[in-house]
Formats: sequence, C-alpha cells, structure tokens
Amino acid sequence: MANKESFFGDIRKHLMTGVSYMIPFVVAGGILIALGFAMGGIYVFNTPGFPADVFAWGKVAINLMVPALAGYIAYSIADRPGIAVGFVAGMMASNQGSGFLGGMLGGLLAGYVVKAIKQLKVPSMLKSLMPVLIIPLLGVFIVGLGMTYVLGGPVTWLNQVVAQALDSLSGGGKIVLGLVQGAMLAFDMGGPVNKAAYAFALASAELDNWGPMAANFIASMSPPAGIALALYLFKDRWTSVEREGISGCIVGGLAMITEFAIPYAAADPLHVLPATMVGSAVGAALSYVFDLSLTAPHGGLFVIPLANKPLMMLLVFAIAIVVTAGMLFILKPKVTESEEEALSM
Amino acid sequence: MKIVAVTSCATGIAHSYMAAEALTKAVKGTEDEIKVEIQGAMGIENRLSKQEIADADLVIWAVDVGVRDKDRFEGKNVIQFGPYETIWDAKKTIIEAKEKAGL
Repeated sequence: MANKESFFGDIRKHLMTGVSYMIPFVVAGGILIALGFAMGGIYVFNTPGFPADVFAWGKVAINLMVPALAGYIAYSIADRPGIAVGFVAGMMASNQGSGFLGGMLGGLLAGYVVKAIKQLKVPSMLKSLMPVLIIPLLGVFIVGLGMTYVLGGPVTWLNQVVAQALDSLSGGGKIVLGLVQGAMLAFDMGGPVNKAAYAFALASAELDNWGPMAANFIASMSPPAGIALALYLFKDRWTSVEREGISGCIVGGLAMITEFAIPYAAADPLHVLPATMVGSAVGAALSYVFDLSLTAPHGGLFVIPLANKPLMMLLVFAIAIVVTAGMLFILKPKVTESEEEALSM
Repeated sequence: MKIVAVTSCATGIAHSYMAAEALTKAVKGTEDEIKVEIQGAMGIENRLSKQEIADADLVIWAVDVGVRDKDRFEGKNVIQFGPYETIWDAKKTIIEAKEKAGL
C-alpha cells in the first residue's frame, strides 16, 4: 500500500469507522427507549413491567454506544488486536462521563497504543503471547493511565460544558445552530461535512439531548424529498432522465437517505446545492424553534411517531420540503432543448 | 485493463452502493474491466479473491471507513479516494487513479 494518505485523512477514516459500527447500537437503543416511553409514560423506569423492560433493553444498547465507537476506532487503526483495548477505553470514557468525545479520543489512543505495541520486536518464542497476553494487558494498562490521569479530567469537563451550552441555548442561538447544522447536512449529502453534522447530533444524543437529532432528521430528509416535489411540480427544470429518478428521491426522502439527492446536485451543483441547503437550514432551525426532539438516530418517516411532537415534526418537515422545492424553482434555470438532445444521443 | 475496487461508507447503506454503481458505469464502453467489492452495513458483498486482486492492474479504494481484510491487498499499489468524489465523477476517479499508478 504505497499510496500514503495524510495523517488527518487517516484519523477521519478511523473516526468514521467507529461511527459506522456504533450506529446500530444507537438505532436499537434509541428506538427501544422511545418505545418504552411511548408505552409507559415519562417515568417508565420507575414502575416495573414490560414497558420498563423495553426501556431497560434500550438503555443497555445505548450504553454500548461509546464503547463500540472507541472499539472500532481502535480496530480501524490497529486491526483486530485493537478491538478489546478500544472497547475498554470507551467504557472508561462512559464511566467518567467524558462521553462521545472521550470515546473518540480513547479509541484513537487505544488504536495507536496497540499499533505501537504490535511493532515491538519480541523473541519468536514470545510471539504467540502477543495477541493473547501482551497486547491486551499492556494496552489496557497504558490506556487506563491515559484515560484516568491525562484525558479524563479535561475531556469530562469539556463534555459537561458542551452539554450545558446545548441545554441553555436560547432562541437566537438555537436558530443559528439549526441554520448551520441544516446547511452542513445538505452541503454534501452524506459526505464528510454531512457526517460531521450527524456526529454532532449523535454526540448530543449521548448527552441525553435528542433535539439536534430531530433537526438532523428534517435536514437530512428534505433534500431528496424537496427535489422529488420539484421534479413533480416543475417539470421544465429537469431533463427526462432526471425526472425518471423521482421514485428514488421519494424513497430517499421518506427513509432519510440523503444520498439519493446526489445525482441531481452533481448535475447542477451551483443551483441545486444552495436550494437544498436553504431548505434544510430552515427546517433544522424550525425544529429547534419548536423544541422538537426525536429519540431515534435513523429510520426516516417510520420513526417520526416516536418524536415528542410528531404532528409538529411532520409540519416542519413539510415546510422544509416546500422551501427546498421553492428555492429550486427560483434558482434552477429551465432545461434547454440542446441539453435534452445531448442526453438522447 | 483489469481494475478491482473496494467501496465503503460510514453508514454502509447508500454511498457504498452508489460508488460501486458509478465505477461500474464509468468503465462501460471502454477497454477496462472492473470488479467492485462493496463493504457495506450488511458485510462484504461481491468479495474480491486474493487471486483477482493479484491479477489486477489497478486497485482503487473508494472508502470512508477502514477496509476489512486488508491483508489481501498486501504488495499492491492501492490508489485511495473517498466514495463521495467517486459518485460525483467516477470517470475522473479512474483517470486519476491511472495517473497516480503511473499507467
């Protein structure tokens, strides 16, 4: 593998790997917790019974979120031997209250520590002891030192500061947050900027604040859904090939797969991206204004009934779609005949 | 030219597949052949064998997350991209990969 990537490019890939393995835990956990609340009310955990059990299962899954994140970040760096050390680092972060941020740093620490240990030259008779004894033992020991005496304090502090800042955001701050978050989500539709904004929503969820997740839903669903509406209403703005993709856009919009909007943005980024960004930014900002929250990190329309205000959420979603489509109507020029001909050639 | 590629993305449900489709489309009507392995949320699909990788003239990774079973690629000159840029313009990806590989 001669082709070297930059150090930061590598880090980004490791973090993405962690997030990608973490998501199923958050999905199962978040939705079960929401179901528990739906069945047993907001004090579901106080009354033993089936709803409380469902809630508890969800909690177990969500508590594995940070360990899984750290474990698979370390896996991405150091391969298989990284997993165990990374999981322990993540659990330490969880216990310390340093959360998502602590888990990220812990996973990186674990990964690079294990990678370094792997490179130690050991006599061949000790080789077989590396994966079963030396790496896990030495790795967890070093990670423990790092997490407890170095990272733990400052990162836990930082995490609490972020949590308080999120909770205490007032009207104007929320709108700005929503605008930025929404625009980022629509900017590259599933690319790195989008995923950074998604990671923010996940990190907030870990702090038990699911408001950013609701904004995330609306801003991620409105680009494909808004394009679908524009495909239906403003036929002269699109080529015939583009119009055929409407079913994909509808599915993408309902299932929260922003990527379905990519072909449209790729064909005409300068007109399409500003439109989807405005629609998503407005949607996300409104989501904060109406204090929407959603205890599920993925699942599109199918999990909206679990939101704190489902009808309000649908309304905000509808507004975001209409704004996106309206912006497309304003910004996107009509398709010329020569473009249409070029396609049929 | 024989090309093999791996695609992956953070959620593993959309980008990985779209990048694979884009690459497959991009070689249509050219001299190149391509086989694309998708490392998505459901595991590895269309898996590349060690032999296929060894026989390839060009190895492209369009990945956002760590590649699984990396050891299959040992000794190969792997040209890396993001899945994102590949979806936007897979033809360019292939041209750039060839340049970087000195082909």
